[in-house]
Amino acid sequence: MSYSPSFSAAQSAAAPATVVFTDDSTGADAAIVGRRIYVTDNQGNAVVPSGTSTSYIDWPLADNPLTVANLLPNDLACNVDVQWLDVSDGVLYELDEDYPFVENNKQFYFYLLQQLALYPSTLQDTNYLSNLEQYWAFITGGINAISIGNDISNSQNLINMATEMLQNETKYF
Amino acid sequence: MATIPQVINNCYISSYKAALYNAKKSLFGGGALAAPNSPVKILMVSDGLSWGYSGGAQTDQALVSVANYGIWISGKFYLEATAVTGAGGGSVVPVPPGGLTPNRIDFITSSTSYIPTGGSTKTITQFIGYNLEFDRGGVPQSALTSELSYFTWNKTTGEFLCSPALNEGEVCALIP
Repeated sequence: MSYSPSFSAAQSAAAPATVVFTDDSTGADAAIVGRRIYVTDNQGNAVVPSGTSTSYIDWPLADNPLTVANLLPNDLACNVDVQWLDVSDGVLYELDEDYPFVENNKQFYFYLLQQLALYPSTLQDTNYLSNLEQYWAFITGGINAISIGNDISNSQNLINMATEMLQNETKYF
Repeated sequence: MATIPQVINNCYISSYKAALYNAKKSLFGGGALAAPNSPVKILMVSDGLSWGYSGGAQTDQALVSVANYGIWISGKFYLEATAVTGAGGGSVVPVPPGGLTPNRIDFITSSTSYIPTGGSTKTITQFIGYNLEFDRGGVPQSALTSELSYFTWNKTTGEFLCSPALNEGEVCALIP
């Protein structure tokens, strides 16, 4: 049976610095002895957990799914490239996908809605509402830029604007 | 009660219902709807609720509070949405009007009794909408399935189940 490589990456909502990688490949290839994950940001910089000396994350065959803690310093638009390797570290199969990792902003946005649920009249504050609308547009735009437009650069621009609002909560909300 | 995914779906539907309503209002010289029923605001809450739910990081209490907010902000369009999905309307099973509680059912198990010997299930349509007490040998039964002897009652569908199955000659009472 031929080997069909496949994987997915999911950012944890509860711990947004953590990403879980799942190998969904089908088929079998006895030559595969290892895997590597290359995560890069929109500038092509390697994204690895602090203390990692390589530009990749080792993904042993025995570990599926693989949970990588402390990977994301903040929300990022990333390219995730997974390589399936032979005994000489030769690349047998390779697959890459872009991901908008925006759980920090998503959960903060949910928190803002919770506050609105407690104090519905806040909606009448036009500054607050305008900022909330912008924040929502930045997050959804950041997601859509990748999921629809395959545009990692503009996705990161939008995520940066959302993150700036998150980090300056008292100024905007 | 409607589940959180049902509320999310209904809110997304409410958004386009509100947008269509606004379009018609413009056609006849009306204005766009102000808060809380603006389609954009409904969509904003729908997205936020969806993100909070799918991430699994939020508590049930937090999700319910935002879900209720989503229902409120959707207003009358939420009712239209429940008609589309069939989910969320009539979240509380209404007690039949009239004020009279149906008569209790007493029987001694036999091959011809209301629930026959060896039986354990029955659909009791006249009790739908009511809570139920089940007495067995004069002893009220627990609804906790962890007990040795218990019963379950679905007041939405009228499905009754008792465990263990009834023996010959047991004195039973089903009391709404």
